[in-house]
Amino acid sequence: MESVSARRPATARGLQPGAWLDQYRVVRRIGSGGMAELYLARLEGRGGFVKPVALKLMHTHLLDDPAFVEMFLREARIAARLSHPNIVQVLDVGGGQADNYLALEYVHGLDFRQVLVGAREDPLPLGCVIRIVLDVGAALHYAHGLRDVDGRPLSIVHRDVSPGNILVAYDGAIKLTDFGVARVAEHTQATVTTSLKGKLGYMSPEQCAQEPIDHRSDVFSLGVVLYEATTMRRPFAGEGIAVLNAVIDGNYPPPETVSPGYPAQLSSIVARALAAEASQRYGSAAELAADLEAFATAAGLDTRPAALAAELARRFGSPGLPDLSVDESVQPLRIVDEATTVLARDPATPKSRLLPALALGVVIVVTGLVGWGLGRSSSVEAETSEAPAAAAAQVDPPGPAAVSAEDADETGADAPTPVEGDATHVEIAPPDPAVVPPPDPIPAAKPAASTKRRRGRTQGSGGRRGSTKTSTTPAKVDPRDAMLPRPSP
Amino acid sequence: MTPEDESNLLDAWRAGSHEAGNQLMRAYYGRVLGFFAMRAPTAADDLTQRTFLACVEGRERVRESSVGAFVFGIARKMLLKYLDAKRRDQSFAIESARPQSILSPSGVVAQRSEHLLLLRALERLPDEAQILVGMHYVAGLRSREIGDALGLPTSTVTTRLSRAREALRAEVQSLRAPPQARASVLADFETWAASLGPLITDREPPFGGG
Repeated sequence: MESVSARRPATARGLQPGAWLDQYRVVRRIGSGGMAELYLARLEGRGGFVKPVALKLMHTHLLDDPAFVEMFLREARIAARLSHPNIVQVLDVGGGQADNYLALEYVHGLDFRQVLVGAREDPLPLGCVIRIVLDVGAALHYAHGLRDVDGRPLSIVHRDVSPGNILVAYDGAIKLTDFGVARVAEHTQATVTTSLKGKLGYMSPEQCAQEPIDHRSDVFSLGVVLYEATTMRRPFAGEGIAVLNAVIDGNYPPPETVSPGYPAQLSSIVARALAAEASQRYGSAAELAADLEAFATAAGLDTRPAALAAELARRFGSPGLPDLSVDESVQPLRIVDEATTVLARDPATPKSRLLPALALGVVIVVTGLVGWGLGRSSSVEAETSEAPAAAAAQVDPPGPAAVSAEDADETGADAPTPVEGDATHVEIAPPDPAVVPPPDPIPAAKPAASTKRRRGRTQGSGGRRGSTKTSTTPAKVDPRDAMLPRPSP
Repeated sequence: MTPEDESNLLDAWRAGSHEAGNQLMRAYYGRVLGFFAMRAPTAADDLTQRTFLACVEGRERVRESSVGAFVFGIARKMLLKYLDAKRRDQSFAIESARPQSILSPSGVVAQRSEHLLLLRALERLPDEAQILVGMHYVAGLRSREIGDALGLPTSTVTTRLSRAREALRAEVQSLRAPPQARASVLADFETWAASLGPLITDREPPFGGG
């Protein structure tokens, strides 16, 4: 085993093609965000066994932030409980205190957001859209209804259902990913929201208002996806806080007003899914799916996965599987910047590490597993543009780095925009006496001072804000890579 | 920066000192950006740059009581023009594909529930009331400076600010929000409102100090 102390910029691991992380060998970097980096890797076994996987590595500068580590590992814990054909599987959890990574199922296709980008000029057949929403609904209904070994509801809520987290395989399979902001409210009927995390414009009114949420919050978000995919614009467009207010008020244009000829029955379904009051909404994702199925049947729509696959082939061709070959001459790791330790192993002596999973009491089995995904990302270009030139040159693997359309959205004005509106991720901290004393009365400077402290820490340790804000380099999208989940910011 | 320092710098700037101009702009950069970010987060950077360009071009015409009044007088016009254009041109919504600085991780990393509630309440006020509140709490201008920026008597500004504050409180009371956040804001409204400024103006200018 070879242990390498690598110096790298805080937002770039600098894992070179050929580097080993336990039994996974890096092929190339796919993208990067505020929370993690994503690599295409290969799992090697006996007799020439090779399987593509996606590795999601948490940024080193976040490892000392318990909140981020918890969010990262939460995804693994939740995913460990999920096994469903419409949910991206987490295959493994690796690392320890110095590193954290997840190995994910590789899905050969695109994310739904990328599909929607292309659909601006060439709308998807309604049957295909409904197929996608039906499958996401099935994934959600499964997750929402999961119970523990004692039969008690786990009350899982995804909390970040959006096109970027819906993966569309070229064969027509649909997989929901990114349970990174999901919460499990074990032994309770409702998930108490203590913070606001998700994507602006997809969060439910109760999320936006920081109220307790339950599974119906995901139903709302799926309703937003349905609206967007059938009208090619988001229901709650606008800027910043205005979007939150619009969502809470239920202020959106009925789909028939923005899309003439919109089916009345479908409009009713959308309206019920987007009801501002959860009690007026569909009681479950399955109820929404049932109404959608009935509508599709009555309208004679072709919702078969094969029809979706044919449509994708018409639009994107039939891309081959990703090239998993690596340049054998490349050293596993290079010294780039800040000192952080990554274990690079000789392929002859792989050794699995499941420390986080064990610590959390999660049993990771190789066969049946968990799905999780990543939220926001910024582009590779966005990061490297701020890194020292030498570091950037060493960090990036050969070839164009590809990121999803969602990734590109945070890179600047030049990023592709699928529809009107925005899907900015938001992160609002709940009241936290440890951070900001409650006004009793509060000295005027305290909220500001504490905010600065938090921000300063983040910036100083890696420039979360700066790394996603300043670049205007449009991200490149490679359909072959786009299926991989993206790092969360 | 004291008013005297500012006055001296203004004189030097008018006399042609780029260094003095830079110092003045640096002093106001974060507050101007925050002023825009509060209402137009996707265009805040651009509007800020435009504002400072206009300030440079119009520095000979400074008549206001302070540089702040001069700068925010221009900023107000920029914001109103932007909002008006956005309302008329729906394609403006495409702009919002960029990160939104107030809420996105690339802007303010985290806010308190109380701040979110205040910002939501502020968003519901009429444009001019928002601008007034922004100038007072975010930009930190005095009533006289606001009056200069808006071309209004100080007494009128005081009256309007008082009305805007009451409207803001009323919105906080009626908004759908966590009860504890609402109670917290209402119990010490001024402190929470004042804390908005540092929250969204803590940004370094992209230009150098020389």
